Amino acid sequence: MSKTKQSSTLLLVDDDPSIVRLLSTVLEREYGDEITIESLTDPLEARARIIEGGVDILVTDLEMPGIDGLELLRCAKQRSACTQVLFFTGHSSREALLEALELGATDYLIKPVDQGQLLELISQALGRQRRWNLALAETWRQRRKSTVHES
Amino acid sequence: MTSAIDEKTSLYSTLGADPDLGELVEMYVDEMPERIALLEQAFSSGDRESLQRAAHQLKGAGESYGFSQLTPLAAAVEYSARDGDPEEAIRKSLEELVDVCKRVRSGEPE
Repeated sequence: MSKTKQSSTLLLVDDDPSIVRLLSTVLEREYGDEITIESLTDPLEARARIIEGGVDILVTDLEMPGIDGLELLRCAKQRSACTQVLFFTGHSSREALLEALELGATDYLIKPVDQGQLLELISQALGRQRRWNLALAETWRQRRKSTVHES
Repeated sequence: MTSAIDEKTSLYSTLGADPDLGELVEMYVDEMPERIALLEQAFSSGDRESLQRAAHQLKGAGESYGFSQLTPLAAAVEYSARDGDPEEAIRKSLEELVDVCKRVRSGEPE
């Protein structure tokens, strides 16, 4: 697994190594200072990585051999409901797209991936993920404060 | 008038001049003979699932790497293999795809 730098974590998963190389470079160039970019070509490894530590943003191909993107979406959302999940799709079935929506997918990109659109969606996902985290942290602080007052 | 695909010329990526991505394009082009071999081997052994998979990857990556000519031809092979088209129809689509695959180049045209 390739891994670089700090704060929010983004996991990119595609079984085509050439796509992973290209898109991780594009993402690193734009967001390397504010997002730790990880990338994997094996969806099984990706599932283990998500279960082990959770990620803030998951960008995954929907159609992969073995475990598909929907399974990774399920895992990511179970690990943390705040995780923003974007998926790539080519000619996915209506059922797969509806299931992705129901499972809480944030957005999708049609392959071949448009780099500008990818960066725009990552920016939106990052903002959304950070707002949710802030809101949840605030409720946690309020709860602790009221517990201290009561005792 | 002939289209760019009909002409037997080299095909250059729109990302070829990018300082960061040009190197990745070079790697992608260097690996093309392996992809062609995979496609041809899958076809000759009648392994339509592998053919479909290899064509699917080319369809997704080709245009992403700035070779837009690859994507529709790879899609034709993928769908042809998936839909169980006759061998001759798949062969024809594959030949067109391989022809274009062999003409991709890294860098910029002189």
